[in-house]
Amino acid sequence: MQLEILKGVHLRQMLLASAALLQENKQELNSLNVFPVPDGDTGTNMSLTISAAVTEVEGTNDDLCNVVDALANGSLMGARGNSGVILSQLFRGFASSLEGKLSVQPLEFARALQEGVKTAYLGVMKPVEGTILTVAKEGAKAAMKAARRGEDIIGLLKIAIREAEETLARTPEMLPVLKEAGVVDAGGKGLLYILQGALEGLSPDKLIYPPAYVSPEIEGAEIKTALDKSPVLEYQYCTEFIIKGEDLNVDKMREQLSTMGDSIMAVGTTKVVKVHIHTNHPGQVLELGLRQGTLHDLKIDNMAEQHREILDMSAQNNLSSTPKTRADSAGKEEEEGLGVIAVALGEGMGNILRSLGVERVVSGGQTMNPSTEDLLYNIENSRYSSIILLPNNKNVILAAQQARKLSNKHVYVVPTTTIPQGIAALLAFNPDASLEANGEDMSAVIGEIKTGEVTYAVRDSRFNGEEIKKGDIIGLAQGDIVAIGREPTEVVMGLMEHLVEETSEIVTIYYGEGATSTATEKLAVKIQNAYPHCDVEAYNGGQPLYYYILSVE
Amino acid sequence: MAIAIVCDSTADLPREIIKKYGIHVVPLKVHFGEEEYRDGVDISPQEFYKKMQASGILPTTSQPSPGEFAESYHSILKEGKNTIISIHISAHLSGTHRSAIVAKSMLPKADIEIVDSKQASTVLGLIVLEAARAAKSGKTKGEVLSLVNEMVEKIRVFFMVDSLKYLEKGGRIGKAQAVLGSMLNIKPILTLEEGIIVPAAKTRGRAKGIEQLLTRMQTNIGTGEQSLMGIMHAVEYDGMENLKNKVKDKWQPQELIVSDIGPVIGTHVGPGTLALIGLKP
Repeated sequence: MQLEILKGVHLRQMLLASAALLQENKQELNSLNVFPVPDGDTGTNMSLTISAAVTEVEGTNDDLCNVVDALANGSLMGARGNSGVILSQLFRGFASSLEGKLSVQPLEFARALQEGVKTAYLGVMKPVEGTILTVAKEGAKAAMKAARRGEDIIGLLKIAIREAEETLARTPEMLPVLKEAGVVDAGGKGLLYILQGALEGLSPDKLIYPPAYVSPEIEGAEIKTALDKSPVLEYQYCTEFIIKGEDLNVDKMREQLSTMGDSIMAVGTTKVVKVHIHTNHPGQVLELGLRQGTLHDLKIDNMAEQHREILDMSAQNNLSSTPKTRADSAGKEEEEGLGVIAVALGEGMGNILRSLGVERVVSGGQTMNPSTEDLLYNIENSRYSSIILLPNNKNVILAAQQARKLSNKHVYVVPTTTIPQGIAALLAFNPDASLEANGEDMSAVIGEIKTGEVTYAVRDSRFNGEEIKKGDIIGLAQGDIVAIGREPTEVVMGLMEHLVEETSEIVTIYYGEGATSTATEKLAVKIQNAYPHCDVEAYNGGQPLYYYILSVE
Repeated sequence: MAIAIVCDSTADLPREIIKKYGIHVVPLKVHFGEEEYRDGVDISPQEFYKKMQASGILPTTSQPSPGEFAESYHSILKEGKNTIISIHISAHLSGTHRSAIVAKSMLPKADIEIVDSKQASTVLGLIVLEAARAAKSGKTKGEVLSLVNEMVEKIRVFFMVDSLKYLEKGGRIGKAQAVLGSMLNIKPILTLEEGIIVPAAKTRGRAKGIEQLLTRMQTNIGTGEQSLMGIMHAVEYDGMENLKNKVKDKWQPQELIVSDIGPVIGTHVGPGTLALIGLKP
C-alpha cells in the first residue's frame, strides 16, 4: 500500500495507534530508568501526555488542520515529566508546520517532522544527545532523505523507524550513564513506539474506525475522595470547552469569566483558547464563549454527583489530583505580592512546606510528576500575581518551565531537584523582595544543602562494578547510588559517610511510607552518636517509595 | 547646668556601666503569676531564666507607672540636676514611653526631654551609654540630644531567637510570622525597623544563624573598623563567645559591650536569644 497524500483521518489513526502501543509498553519504559529506583516513570509520563492529545483529537473533526491543532494543544497541556514535555514540543513544532492545511504530501510531512525536532531542541535549555532528542533528530533526517528520493508516507515512516531504532541502540554509546546501567534511553524508546504505532495506524486493516481508546490509569478512588471532601459546593458545574476564532483575547476572557465562578482557567493563543470554570450558570459561560468564536469539546459536569463515570473525566481534564476545593472557593481577589507553589509527595512533606509559607502544594497524583496543566492550574488559581515555583524533582523542571510560559502571571522557576533543596530555597524566601531577587537568592542557596535518598531497586542492575539485585535497598547521595544493602537504616548509615562533612551542622531525616517513627528515632540516635557534631532531626514526610529522604547542611 | 540621663530597665546595661556613668534606671516589672519582681533589681537575669524554666509559668511584664517615673524625676531634680534626658524602649513595643510622657506632664516646670529610641535592650543601652558619656563630658542639652538622635538613626541590631513562641505569646510579632518555620526547628533572624520587630532571615541551626547575624550586620555597617559594638544574649554563653570572637576578627571594635538580656526583654524573646549591635558609619 502506498500513501501519497496524508489527511486528518490518517493522522488521527496514527495517533490512536501510537497511544495504544505506548500504553501497552509503558511498564517496559518505566523500568528503563538509568537508576533502578522505583520512580522511573518515563512510560507513564509519555503515555499520559499522548493520551491528553488523543482526548483533544477525539473532540475535533477530521480536518488535518484541526487534528494537528488538537495534537499540539492536548499534548502541551497534558505534558508530564521531561520526556512528556519534549514529546509535546515535538508535536507542537510538527503541528505549526502543518497549520491551516487539509492534506499533506510526503515532503511536507517530513519537513513537519523536522520542524518538530527543531522546536523540541529549542524547548530544552541544555539539549543532551543520546536521548529522545537524538532519536527524533536522526529519524526525521532519514525521513527527509527518503521523501526527497520520492518515498511515500508509509515508506518514509518505515525508513524513519529503522533509523530511529539504530540511533536508539547507539544511545548507550552517547550517554555513559545509560551504558553503565545497561539500558537504552527510555524516552527514545518511547518515541520509537510512537513511530511504530503511527505506521501500524496506517495499515489498511486499522483504517476501519478503531476501538475506543481508553485513557490510562485514572485513579477513580482518588477523584472520589477529592469530591467527598467538598460536601458544600459554592459552584456546582465544572464547565470546560475550547473556543476557536480569530484575535481571541485571553486576558479579556479571563476577566469576563472572573465574575461567573471560581477555579477559572483561560489559556491559549489568539486562535484557540481553553476555558475551565466552576460556575452555577454554565449557559451564560457558553454564551460568553459563543460571542468570541466557535465552541469545541464541551464538557459540563455536575460536581455534586457522587457516582460519576470515571471515564467521563478524560486524562487531560483530570485536575482532581490537586485538591482544589476549599482554597479556590475563598475570595477570588488576586493579591499583589508573591506566592510560592511547590511540588511534593506525601502529606507530611506537604505540611512541612506549608509551614514554611508555601501557598499551594501540588502532588503528582499517581505518577510522580504533575502535568503542565496541573501546575498551570495552581498558578492560575493562586491568590498571588507573582509566583515562585519549586519543582523539587528534576523530572518536573521542564513542565514547570512550560507552565511558566503558558501563564500570564509572573512565574519564576527555581530549579530545585529535591525536597530538601526546596526547603533550603524557602528559607531564603523574602516576601518583601521582588520576584527576580527572590528567584536569584533562592536559586543561589540550593547548592548549599546535600540530599540523600533511600529506596529499593526495581530490577537487577550493576553500579560501579557492584551487583544490585531487584529488591535491594539502595542509597543515593546527590543523585548517585553510593550505598547498597538489605535494610534501609543500614543503607542510611552508609549514605551518611558520603554526605556528612566536618562542617556539617544539621542532619534531617524525613521518613516515608515504608518506615516507622520508632525505627526512625533509633536511626536518629545512631546518626547522632556517629556524628556528635551534628544536630539530628526527624520528621514524618509520608512520601511514597522512599523510606528516607535525608538532608545534610 | 548638669544633665541627668534616665532610661528604663530594658536598656540591659551591665551594672558597672550604670554605676560608672551615674545612669538612672527606672525598672519595669516582671510577674510570675502573683509574684512581682522589679527588673534587674529584685531578680538577676540568671535567676530569672532559672525560674522561668523551673516554674513552667510564662511570666508577664508591666511598664513603670507614670507615678514611678515622676518620683524618679523628682528625686533627680532634688539632687540638683536641672535637665533630664529620658530615653526609652520603642513605643511600639511597650507603654513605658507613654508613662514617661505622662510623668513629664506631672512636672510642668521641670526641663525633661523624653526620647523614643525605637529600640530595645542593649541597643537602647548603647544609645543611653553614649548620651551619659556626652553629658558627663559637659556637652550641652542640644549636643546630647542631637547625638542621641544620630545614634537612633544609625544603630542596627540583628537577633536570633531560639523560637518565635515567646514573641508570639507576648504579642510582639504577628501570628502568621510565628507559625512560619514552627515545624522545622528554624532559627529566625529578626531586626528592629522603626521600632517594630521584623523578620530578616530564616536559618536552620545556630552556627548558620551566627553567620547570618554577621553577614546581615556587614551589609548594614560595612567592613570598616568600628568604635562601638554590642552583643547581648539570654543565657546563650557558647553562642556569645563564638560571636564575640568573630566580631573581634571582623571589625576590631574599639569597644565591645557584652550584656545579658534582662528579665523583661527575656520574657518576650525567650532563652537562647543572641544579638549583634553595630553602628552605620
